Amino acid sequence: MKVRKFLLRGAAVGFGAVVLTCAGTAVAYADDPDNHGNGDVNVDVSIPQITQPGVLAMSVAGTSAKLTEQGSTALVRQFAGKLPLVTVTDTRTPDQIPAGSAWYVLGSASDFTGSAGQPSIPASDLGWSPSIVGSDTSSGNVFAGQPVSTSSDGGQGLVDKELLSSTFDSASDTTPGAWTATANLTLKTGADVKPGDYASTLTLSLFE
Amino acid sequence: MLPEVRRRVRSAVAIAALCAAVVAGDAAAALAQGRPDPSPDAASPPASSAPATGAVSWSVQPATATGADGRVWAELTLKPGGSADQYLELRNLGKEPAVFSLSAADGYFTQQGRFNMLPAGVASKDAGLWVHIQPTIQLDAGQSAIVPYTVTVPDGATPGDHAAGVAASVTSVGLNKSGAQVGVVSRVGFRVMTRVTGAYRTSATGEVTGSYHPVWNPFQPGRVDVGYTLKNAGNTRVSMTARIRLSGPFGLGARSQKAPAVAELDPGESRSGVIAFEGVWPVGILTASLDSGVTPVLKHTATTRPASPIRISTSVPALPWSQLIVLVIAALVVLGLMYDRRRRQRSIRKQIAAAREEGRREVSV
Repeated sequence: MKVRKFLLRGAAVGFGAVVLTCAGTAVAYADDPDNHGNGDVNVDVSIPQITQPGVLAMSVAGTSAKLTEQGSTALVRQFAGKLPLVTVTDTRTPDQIPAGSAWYVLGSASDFTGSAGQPSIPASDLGWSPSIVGSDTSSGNVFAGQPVSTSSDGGQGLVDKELLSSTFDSASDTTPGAWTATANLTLKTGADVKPGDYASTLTLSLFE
Repeated sequence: MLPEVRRRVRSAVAIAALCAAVVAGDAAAALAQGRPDPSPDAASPPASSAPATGAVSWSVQPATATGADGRVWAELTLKPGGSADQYLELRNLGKEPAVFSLSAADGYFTQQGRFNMLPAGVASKDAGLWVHIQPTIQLDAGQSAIVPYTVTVPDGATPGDHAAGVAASVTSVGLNKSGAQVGVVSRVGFRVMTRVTGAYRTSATGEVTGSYHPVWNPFQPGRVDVGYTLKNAGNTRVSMTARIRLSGPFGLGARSQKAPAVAELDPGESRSGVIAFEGVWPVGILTASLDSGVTPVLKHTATTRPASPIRISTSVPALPWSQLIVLVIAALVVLGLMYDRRRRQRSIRKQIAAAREEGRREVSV
């Protein structure tokens, strides 16, 4: 009697399971009126290697830098400004770059000449602190230059100082890439500077 | 006149005066427009008072007449009076047409060993004057141009290596000049290294100085700063290595450190540095020496003496002042103690003698 009851129960459970499975499968394969079939669509694109030689290029935003007074004390007059963004793009493949070569952007300021014959402010009174802006590609081999302090702070001022530089390590592969740098400019003069308009020219040079 | 008419005339005159004032004000404003704005408006963006400029993007590389040739910079060998036609490829990679200034100037190496060329405001004296190139060129967006330039060596040029650079530059738009302005001139260029044939000399000189910085604690050593200068005294480019040695009297306790190598030093240029040695005891007169090897950058086949290495030294006095002071004080303390003891002994003896005298006197009385 027990065996029969067990067999009956087992059959009922099995039949229910089969029915449920069939129903589930049917739901899964229900014909969705919007889809015609269940295949994936492959999207292929083949990007060809650039065969023309890459270049080392520089981009500069078109504005000049205006220095405005901030942080002056009774003994030192201080002005601050910002260098326009400078971007260096290197699209050369590693085999187009000679071994051991490195590119760099140097900044060199001229003396600030007064517009009305005032004594000029020497370029050593101008300092900066460069920084790399954002980074689309890894900047492991590209460095912002060291901060340069003004002569009143014991530094040498902004003459022949690096804004951005790279060193090429043949083991790593960081080209092609683009690196953007800017710098906070600081001008510190004595409080005895003659008031008026002054202008200087900051020359940024990209060489390799 | 009737009061009403007077009123009307008065109001007519007032209106006429008002119109005249308005017209005069307009005229004054129109005149004022002609003068440049004296005070800057910090709120308005600079572009509003100058033609709008976007970013300019460009590249410059050495080329042949047909296109870029993969050289990083130009190396030429010419005889005095000779000249060479060279080319550079300038590409405007920006989105707007741009006018580029082309210039050449003397080249030099900075103290960090980076090549640079003189800025526009400084006159060239040497190879910068040998390079002739057109002053400006205008390129549309995406356009590139092969620009020729000529290097002409004057008849009296000294033999050896001369460095110059050629560059294409863009000047950012100048604004209303007030306050402190920094105009930015950006340039991309490459070196033009010209070797003038003749008698080549490869030689270098050096200088070394040393100073000792003591620590006042007599149980701590001090520091020696050795400053050195390497100068290219020949007429060819050289690269140099340098090693600084510091040793005590009789060559005891010698230490050495390598100075950063100089990859390239042009004729007449010099490079300086300072090497610090920590933990130096003031044992008397120390000797600091500079050993430098000199290698020409370009191998030349003309008969030249090989560059002799530099070996110079200087003495650095390092006298143990604080130790001597401590010794002197210690000696004084010891002497003082000895004198004190002797004095005390003498006074004790005197007291004993006086007591004995008194005792004798008492007895005799």
